[in-house]
Amino acid sequence: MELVSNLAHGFAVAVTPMNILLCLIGALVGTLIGVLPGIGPIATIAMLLPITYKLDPTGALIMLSGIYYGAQYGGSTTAILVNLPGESSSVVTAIDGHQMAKQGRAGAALAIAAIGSFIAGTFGTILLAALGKPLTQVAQAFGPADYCALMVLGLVCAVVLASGSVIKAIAMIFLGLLLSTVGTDLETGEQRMTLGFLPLADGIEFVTLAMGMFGFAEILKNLEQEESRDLVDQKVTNLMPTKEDMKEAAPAIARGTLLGSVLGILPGGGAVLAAFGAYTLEKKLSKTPEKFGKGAIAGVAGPESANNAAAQTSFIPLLTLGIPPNAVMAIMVGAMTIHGIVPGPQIMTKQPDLFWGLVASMWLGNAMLVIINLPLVGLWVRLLRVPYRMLFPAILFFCAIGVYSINNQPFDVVLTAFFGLAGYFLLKFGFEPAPMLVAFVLGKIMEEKLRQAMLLSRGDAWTFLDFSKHPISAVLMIVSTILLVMALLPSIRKKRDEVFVE
Amino acid sequence: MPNSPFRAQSARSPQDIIGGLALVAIAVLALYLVKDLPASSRVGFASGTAPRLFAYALIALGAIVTLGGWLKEGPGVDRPAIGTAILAAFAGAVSLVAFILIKTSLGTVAMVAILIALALVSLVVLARIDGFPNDSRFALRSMIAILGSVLFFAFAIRILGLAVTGIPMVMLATAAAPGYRWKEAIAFAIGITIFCGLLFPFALGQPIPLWPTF
Amino acid sequence: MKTMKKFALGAVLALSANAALAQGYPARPITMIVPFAAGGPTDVIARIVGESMSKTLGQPIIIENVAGAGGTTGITRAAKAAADGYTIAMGHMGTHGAAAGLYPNMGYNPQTDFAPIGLAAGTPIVIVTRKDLPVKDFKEFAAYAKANEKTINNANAGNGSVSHITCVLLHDMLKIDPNAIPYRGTGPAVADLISGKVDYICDQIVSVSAQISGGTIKGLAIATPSRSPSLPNVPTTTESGLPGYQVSAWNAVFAPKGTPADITKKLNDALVTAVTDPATRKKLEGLGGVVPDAKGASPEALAALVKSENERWVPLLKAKVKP
Repeated sequence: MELVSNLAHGFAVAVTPMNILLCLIGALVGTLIGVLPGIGPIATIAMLLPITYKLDPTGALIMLSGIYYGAQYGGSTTAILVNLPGESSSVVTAIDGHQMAKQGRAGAALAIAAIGSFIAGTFGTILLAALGKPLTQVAQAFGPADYCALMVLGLVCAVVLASGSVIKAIAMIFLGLLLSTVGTDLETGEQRMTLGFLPLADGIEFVTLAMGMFGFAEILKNLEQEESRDLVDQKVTNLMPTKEDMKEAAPAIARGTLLGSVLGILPGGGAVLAAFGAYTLEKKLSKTPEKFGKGAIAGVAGPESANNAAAQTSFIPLLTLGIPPNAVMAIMVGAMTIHGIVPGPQIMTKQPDLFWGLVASMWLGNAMLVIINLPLVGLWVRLLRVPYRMLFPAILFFCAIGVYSINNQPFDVVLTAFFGLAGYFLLKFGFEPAPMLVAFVLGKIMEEKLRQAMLLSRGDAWTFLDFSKHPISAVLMIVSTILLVMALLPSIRKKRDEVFVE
Repeated sequence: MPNSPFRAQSARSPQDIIGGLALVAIAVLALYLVKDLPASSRVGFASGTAPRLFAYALIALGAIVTLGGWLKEGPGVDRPAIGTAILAAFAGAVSLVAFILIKTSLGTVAMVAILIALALVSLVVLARIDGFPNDSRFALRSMIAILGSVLFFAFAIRILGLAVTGIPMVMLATAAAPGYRWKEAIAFAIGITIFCGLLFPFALGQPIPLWPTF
Repeated sequence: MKTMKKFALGAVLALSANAALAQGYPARPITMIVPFAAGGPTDVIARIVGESMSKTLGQPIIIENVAGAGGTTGITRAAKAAADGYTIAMGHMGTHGAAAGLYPNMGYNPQTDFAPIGLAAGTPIVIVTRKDLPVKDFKEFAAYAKANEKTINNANAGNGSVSHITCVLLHDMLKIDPNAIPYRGTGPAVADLISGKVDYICDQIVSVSAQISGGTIKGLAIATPSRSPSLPNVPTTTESGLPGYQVSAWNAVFAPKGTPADITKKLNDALVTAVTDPATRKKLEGLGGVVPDAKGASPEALAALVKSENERWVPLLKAKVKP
C-alpha cells in the first residue's frame, strides 16, 4: 500500500502546528475574499505572495491553496445570499440558491453547499492522491478538436439552465458567444469590437459581466418597489437542512462529485463545465424539473459538489505535469518559482514533501472549511435581516472595489455599471442571464480551440467528426446533436400544440 | 379573443417584440463593428468568422422572438422597463455619436463616465416632460443613484483614493431607496468606508490608493 | 509672453518641488507596475528584484499587475504617471522592444517616454520540440522544418507574445513560413507540446526547463552565447550553427520621463544592489535568468538595449506580422 504510506507521510508534513495554522489562515482568508463580491483569489494570492517569501515552499503552497478552495466555499455564500456570483462556477449556484434564500431557506442552502463541498473535496483529494498520474494521461488525450466538441456539448447543456422560454435561452447563449469574441484576436492580433478602447483589448472581464448582469441588475430590480423592504420575503425557517432536504440532496451530491472530479482534470474549461453540467444532470434526472430555477435544493447541492470536486482535481495537471490549468494555479507556479522550485513532471518524485503534504493539507483544509462554515450559516442568515436600504449600497461599494482590483482598471467599473443597465433590461424583457454568462465563458475557449483545430487540420471542418483521428470529439459531437434535438423537440411540439389550441 | 384568427395581426407580447428587436439591433451593431475583419481564411476560420456567425444567429433568433411576440399572447412591458429601454437606447446613441465626435485626449474612463452621466441627466429632463411614463420616475431615480455612484467611484478612485471616494459614493447610492435619511446615510457611509479602507489596502494588501494622490 | 512667464514660473516651481521631493525620497511606498498577470516570468522577476530594492530604499515596493494588450496597457499607465519616482514599471522585451512593431496606436514611445533605471534580468529563449519529433539536434531540426514546411506545427502563446515574435525571428532566419497555432498563454501551448499535438515552440527558459529535464519535451538550442547552468545539456544556437539567433526576454525597470536625476540614481543604486546581491542573484539564476553586473544594470546600458531591440524587432514585425 504505497498510497497509504505516502498519505501518512503527507499528513506527517501537514499536521505540524505551523502548517495547520497556515492552512487555517488560508482557508479563512479564502472564505473572506470569496464572500466579498468581485474580489477574487487571483488578486488576493498575488498580493499575499510577499508574505510567503519568509515561509518554506510547502507551507506557502498550503496557505495559497487554502485561499483557492476557501474562495470556492465563500463564493457560493455570496451567490446564495445576494445573487452575486464571483466566478463562473457559482453562476449556477446563484440560480436556485438565491431563490431558496428569498424563500427563507438560506440556511439550508448554505449548509447543503458546505456539506456537499466537503464530501466532494474529500473524494477529489483521494482521487488526486490515488490516480493522479493515470488521470493526467486522460487529460493529455484531449486535443483542441476534443475541447471544442466538449464546449459545444456544454453550450447545448446551457439551454437547460433557463427556466423560461427555450428560444430566448438560445438567443442569450448566442449573445454570450458574441460578447466572448470582443477583444484582440489571438491569432492575428486584430482588435474586434473594442471601439478603440484599450481596456477592452483583452476582452470583457468575466467578473464585470457577472457583477453587472446579476448583481447590479438585481439591485435595480429590487428597488422598483416603492416600499423599502427586506431581501427575504418570508420568515427564515430552519438554519439546517431538513431530513427531506438531505434525502433530496444526497444523490445530487454523489453525482455532482463524480462529474466534477472527472471534468476538473481537464485544464482550462473543465472546471467551468462541472458546475452547470451537474445542474443540467440534476434537472434532467429530477422528477420535478419544474422546481429548478425556483429553489430546488438539488440545484444547489449538485453544482456545489461538482464545483468543489473540480477545484481539487484541477490540481492534478499542476502537480503531475507542472502545467497550471488556470490563472490561480499560474500564480501558484509563480510562488513555487520564487521559492526556487520550477514545477515540472518530476515534482512528485523530487519534492515528495511538498506533493504529499499539499494533498494531505487539502483534505484538512476542506474539513476546516466545513467546521468554519456551518456555524457561520447563522451569521450569514442574520446578515439578510440587515435592512435592504443599507445592504445594497454596501454591496455596490464592495463590488466596485472588487471589480477595480481585478486589473486595477477603473474602466472595468464603468463597464460593470453598463452591464448592470443591460442586465436590468434583460430581466425586464424576460431574458435570463445565466445561459449568457455560461456561453460567454465557454465561447472564449470554444473559439480558441476551434481555430486551433482548424489550423492543425489545415482547414478540414470534418476533423471534428473523424473517428480515426479524434474519436473523443466525434462522440461528443454526436451526443451534443442528440441532446440538442431532445431539448428542442418538446418546445417545438408545445408551440405546435399552442397553435392548434388557437 | 384568442379564438379570433384576426387577432394574430396585432401585437400580443410587446415584451418579446421589443426584446427581440433589441437583440437584432445588437447583432447588427456587431456586424458593423467587424465589417473590416476577414470573414474567412485559408483554414476557414479567420478573426471575423466567429463574430459574424454568432451575430447572424442572433439576428435569426431575435427575429423568431419578435415573431413569437406577434403571434403569441405574452406579458406586456411595465413602465420601468420602457424607461430602461429608452435609457439604454439613448445612452448608447449619445455615447456612439459623442465617441465619433470627440475621440480626443480625454481619458477613456473620464470620457465614458461623462457620456453616461450626460445621458442620465438628459433623462431626468426627459422624465419631466409630459407624456413620459410617470411611474418610471422612481425607477429612474434609483437607476441614476446606483449607476451614478458606481461611475463616480470609477472616475474618482485613482485621483481621490478610497477614503475620499467611498463616503460620497455610498451616500449617493443610498439615495436609490425611497425616503432619504441624511444622518443614517452619513454615518453608514463613514462606517463602511473606514471598514473597507482597513480591509482592502491593509488586511488584503490590495494596491488601491487610500488617500488623494495629487 | 504671459504664457512664457507662467511656463517659467511653473518650471521653477516644479524644479524646486522636485528637489524637495528627491531629498526625502522615498517617503512612501513605491508602486511598481508589472504589465502582465501575476505568476508569469516578468511578475516573478519583479517580485524578487522589488523585494531586494525595497530593503535598500527602506519603503515597500507594491507590485501592481496591470495586464492587457501585450503589456502596453500597464506601460501606458506608467508613462503617464507622475514623474516623482513613486510609480515605476517593470518593462520587458515586448513592451519596450517589439511593441512598436505590433501596436501602431500605442500610447507611448519606448525610447523617449521613459527614464531608464536599469536591466533586472533576462530569461533566454529555448527552442523546444515534442519528444518524438524525428530530429536529434538543432541542425537536423532546421532541415526537417524546411523539408516539412507545409505540415509542421509551431505553437505560440498568442499574437505578440514572446513565444510568437521570437519564433517569427527564427522563421525569418531559417527562411521558412510554417503554420503557427496560437494558444491562450504558454501553459496550454506547452501542454499540447508534451502530448505531441504540436511540433515545436520558442519559449523562455523558465517555462520549459523543468519539462526538458523531466524528459517530456526536447530542448534543441538555447539562444545565448553560453550554455545555461539550469540546462547544461542544451547546446547554444552558436554551437548549433545559427549564431545570429541571440534572444533573451529581458526585463528592466523604467521610470516615467522627467523623473528627477537624483531619484533615478537612488532607484538605480537599489537595483544594482539587488542584482549584485548573491541571494537575489541566486534566486534569479534559479529561474534560468541571466543577471547583469553593475555595469549591465546601468541606465546607459538599458537605453542602448532599448534602442538596439527596437531596431531589431520593429522592422521585422512590421514586415512579417500584420496588425
